Amino acid sequence: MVFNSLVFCIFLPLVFVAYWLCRKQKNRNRILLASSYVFYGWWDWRFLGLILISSLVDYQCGLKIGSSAADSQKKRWLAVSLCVNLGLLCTFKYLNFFAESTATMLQMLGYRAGWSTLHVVLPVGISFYTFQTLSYTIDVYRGKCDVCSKPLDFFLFVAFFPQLVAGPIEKAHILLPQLQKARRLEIDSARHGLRCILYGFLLKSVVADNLTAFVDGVYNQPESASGFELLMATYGFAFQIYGDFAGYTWIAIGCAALFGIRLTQNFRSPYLSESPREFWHRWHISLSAWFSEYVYIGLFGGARVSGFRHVLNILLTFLISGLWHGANWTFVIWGGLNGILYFVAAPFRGSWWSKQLNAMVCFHMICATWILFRADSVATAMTIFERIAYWSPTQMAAGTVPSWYPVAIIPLCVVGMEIIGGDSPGVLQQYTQTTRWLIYSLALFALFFLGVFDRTPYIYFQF
Amino acid sequence: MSSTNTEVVNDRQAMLLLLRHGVAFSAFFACLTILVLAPYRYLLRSVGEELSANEICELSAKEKVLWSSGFLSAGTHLKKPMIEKQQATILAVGSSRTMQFRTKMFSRIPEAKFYTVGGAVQNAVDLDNCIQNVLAARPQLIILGLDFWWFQAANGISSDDLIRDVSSSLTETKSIRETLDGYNRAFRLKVRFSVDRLQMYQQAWNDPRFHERLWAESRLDDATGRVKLGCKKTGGFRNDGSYRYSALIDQPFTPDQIAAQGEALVQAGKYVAAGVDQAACVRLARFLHECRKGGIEVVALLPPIESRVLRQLQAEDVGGEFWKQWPFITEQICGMTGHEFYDCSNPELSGISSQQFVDWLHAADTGHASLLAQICESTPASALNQYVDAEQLRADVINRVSELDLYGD
Repeated sequence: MVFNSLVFCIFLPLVFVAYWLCRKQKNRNRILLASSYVFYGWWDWRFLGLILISSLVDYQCGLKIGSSAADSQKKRWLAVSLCVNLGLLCTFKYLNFFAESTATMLQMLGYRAGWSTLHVVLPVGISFYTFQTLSYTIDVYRGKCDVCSKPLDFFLFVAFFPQLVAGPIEKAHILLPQLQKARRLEIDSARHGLRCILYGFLLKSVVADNLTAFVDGVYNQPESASGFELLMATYGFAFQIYGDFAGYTWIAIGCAALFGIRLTQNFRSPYLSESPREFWHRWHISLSAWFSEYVYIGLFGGARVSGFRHVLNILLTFLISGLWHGANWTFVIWGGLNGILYFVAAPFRGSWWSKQLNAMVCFHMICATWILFRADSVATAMTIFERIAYWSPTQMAAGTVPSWYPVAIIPLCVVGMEIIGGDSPGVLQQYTQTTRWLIYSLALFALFFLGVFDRTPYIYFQF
Repeated sequence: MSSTNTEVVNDRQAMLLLLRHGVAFSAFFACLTILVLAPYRYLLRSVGEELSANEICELSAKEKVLWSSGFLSAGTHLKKPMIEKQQATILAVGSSRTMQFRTKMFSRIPEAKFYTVGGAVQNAVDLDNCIQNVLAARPQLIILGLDFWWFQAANGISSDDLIRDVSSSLTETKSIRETLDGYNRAFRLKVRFSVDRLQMYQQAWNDPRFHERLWAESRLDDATGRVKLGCKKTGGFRNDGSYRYSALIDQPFTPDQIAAQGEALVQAGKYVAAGVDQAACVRLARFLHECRKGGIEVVALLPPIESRVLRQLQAEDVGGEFWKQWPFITEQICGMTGHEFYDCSNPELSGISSQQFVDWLHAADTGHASLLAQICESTPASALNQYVDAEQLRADVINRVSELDLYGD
């Protein structure tokens, strides 16, 4: 089930009413768990098996780690959890990539690989819930999180439907306690949830999906597009992916708030960042935090190492983050490039204008990396870079104007909205009811009149 | 979080409070929507785009009109209700291929009212569906144009399919016309406001042609004193339901262009027939039988097709067998119910030239005048003779304004 579907518009209110009509917390969690499995099984019920395996293994590993006295035993159970989860992720996501890459490498060395790749369908959201469930066993091992003895709570922590398929990736010590305690329906929290949902739909249907046709049209045939069109499509993609992904997470945050659960804010106006470092503190915050805590610090030792090692740690973390996004060399190079850009500081200092210039420079650096992210292959990305670099104004044919005009308008509206309104729809709370209602009505008009309702899939589902 | 929570005792009360807020906001939003959309709808109404069939019927009774719409499906929106509203003595029923019969062609009895609902019946299912309307309207004579595709098994369209299309178009609007076509068919114009309509406005607003038409056509009176309604620039329905192809009358296609259009479609396999559709025959028989029972005389005819394209359609490899069987079977059905039948598909036999075609499927009113005159002359017992003055029609054809324009209106 996807958020931008009629089924979900019926599903959510039904779950909401059933949930709050129950008095006991246990029954509420039961309803949430059952509806989460319905939500996920709507794509393909067979993939539910993977979530159940992952949940079952980590639940048991958590119990074993908690009850083990010896550190070696704890490590063993942690290893079991890591192997099972990463094993599933590698099998479904990376097996073909590694097999093909190895075969290519062997071929370059003059050998011929005798294996063939399998046709494996990538289960929706596997990267997200695998990371979430891994955070539990790691936190329990480190003593940062209590062992969850109730299977219902733990299984719900893994499968909680608002953030199951595209995040935010919640750490166990943040989400689990919320699921375990009694909840009350707070009017303001529910209102905030509805605001977030509206904002999310606005970003998805009005911003992202209006840009899809143009961006896809250009990027699917980059060889026939001019440098100018490719440049416009790259700007367009920057806002398409932002609208798509941030839209999804705002809807997720909103849905969770309706059930009295607070999820991490995943985006804070990322395109207003003054440097790539700041950008990564504002873009997909929950993933950055996950990598920071469990990979950069947990695995590599973070900044408490020598200067060279520190640089290497950051680069390695970004490379792994790139690979997390997709089994393709474009994503690996994208990760590496972001790792390098992470060290580029904001060039201007001082006035308000310097900040705006920094944001512009940073935005263009990020856009350059998006080319790798969006292109089908490294060769295609190189072609796009080349065409944009050698673009001349004479290529700006009048006939192309109508197709890219939304690219010029939509981003300006998004940036303007974030400069004026801030990075969260929560800011509306400060206004009077009439002003708020006028703003909601305006948003609904924009949704009805400008929204695209063709059930365009969310980009991040593929990760 | 705020003061509202202090009033709430339990979750159920909170839910009720939330519901109350929801209802209040919905009312606020509804009022705002009306305020926002009112000028827009007024604009559309002022140019006739939003007129209902009733209003058009009333206007048509008072003044000379040319009604069309850039966005509503005029054929279904206007014509189907007109079957009953017009109370015509002579009613032409069929697809757009019966839209070139004109009031002036039935001049023998001036008080006998003529109206063509051409456009409302696109297939045998539509014909079946309009039986009750026709019986309620009680015309004395029906001129029924039968199209070959109604009877081609491979081309059969069921009304269920059309209604299914609507459910998908609710979320996947492909074009204004498609949506509205389905919308009109499914809801029979009972639903006046829906998300579809909003999407139509949105699409219309995003379509540069809309603005072009709206402003260009917002001056209602043109040089002929005719009241133009609707945003469509190219033509429209006259008071008698006939269609004026304004743009094509000014700049007609050449015979070669017309033939090429049809030949391209035939070569693309659009009209390859597997055989005569039995279900369509049953529907036709039912319609004719009901008319007979209701005392309504029917003159069924196969409208002309541009001669070069007709030869292609009748070629052995395309639909040779179908074209041998179909006229024969339909004639038999008409004969069984005691109604007249004329195969006018070959224009050469009716003296209609290629220049008298608007396109390969549609002969102009000049061609239809020749056709009617020929039927009346060759069949003195035809019911048409009561209303048609063949001699006058021949004179009209000789004095025609152009090949595509019989009366210059």
